[in-house]
Amino acid sequence: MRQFVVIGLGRFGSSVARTLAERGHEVLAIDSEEEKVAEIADHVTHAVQLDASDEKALRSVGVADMDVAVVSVGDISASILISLLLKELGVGLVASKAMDTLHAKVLRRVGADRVIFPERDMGVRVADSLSTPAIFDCIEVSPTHSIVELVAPGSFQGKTMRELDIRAKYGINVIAVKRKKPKISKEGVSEIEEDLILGPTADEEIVHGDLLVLLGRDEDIEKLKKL
Amino acid sequence: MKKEQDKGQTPEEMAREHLELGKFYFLNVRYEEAIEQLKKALTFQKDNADIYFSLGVVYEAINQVADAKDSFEKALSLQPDMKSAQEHLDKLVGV
Repeated sequence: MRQFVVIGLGRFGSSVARTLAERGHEVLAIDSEEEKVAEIADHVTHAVQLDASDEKALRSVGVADMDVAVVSVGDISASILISLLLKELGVGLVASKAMDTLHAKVLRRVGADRVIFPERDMGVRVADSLSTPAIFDCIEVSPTHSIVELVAPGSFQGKTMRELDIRAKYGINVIAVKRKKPKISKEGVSEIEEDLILGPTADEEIVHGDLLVLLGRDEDIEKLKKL
Repeated sequence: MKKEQDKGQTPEEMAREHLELGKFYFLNVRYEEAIEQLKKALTFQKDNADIYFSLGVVYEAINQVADAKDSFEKALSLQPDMKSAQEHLDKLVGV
């Protein structure tokens, strides 16, 4: 069992914290706002209200012993400072959420091992321990519906859209298929081009490496992810 | 097609052969076989940045991001000025 600390309990941070706890990990959740801490208290191992940019405060709750830290703080300068402190305290892996590419660059400079882009990563996916990324992109359409980019499950390979019948079986619409096209350049170098097949027809066959762009209810998408 | 352990071939030549074969499979969307060939190429020449780069591209094609990153990082450790590997790695940051 690994020990995680999640700092910043907004939508993203709390989703990461809850998912990690559901997966059976020890989770310390931290936020400067009491309300957010109270909200998550029943779902994680420990929830603490403190200012994470205060090194002493971080030390006092044993952050240095954590295997992984997830920093999901909205304030850019605070997020940079906290990421730096965590690295200095000796946390093995620090994953920090970036607001933009410049922020990402700075985070990497201060030693963040992983930079998360909120528009690309979904809380649950990050919690899935960065191992098998199923979701590549996620846009929230409403509180209940999202557009996600999902790696086509292995069982879909070699089947046509007609055979898969995703809308009928899962209640999800396939907006597009992103397909990799392997290429060898004139210099003999392997390269990849990406094709976007918008509104795939019933005869379109799913192949290895395809990403599906899906629109559906979050809970239906969750089911598909588990395939 | 395979010429395993052919007499008179240097390890570099064997590596090159498997690398080319790996690219062939890659081009034909046979990614698993491509990986197999590239890994074989590495057994003959484990310090060849081109092989790691090609392996990274195949992993990227099948969305195995962590493996792709590892391969590009390895390519860069062997050949720090390999621009293409750096570009691929930068693209994968945050994925």
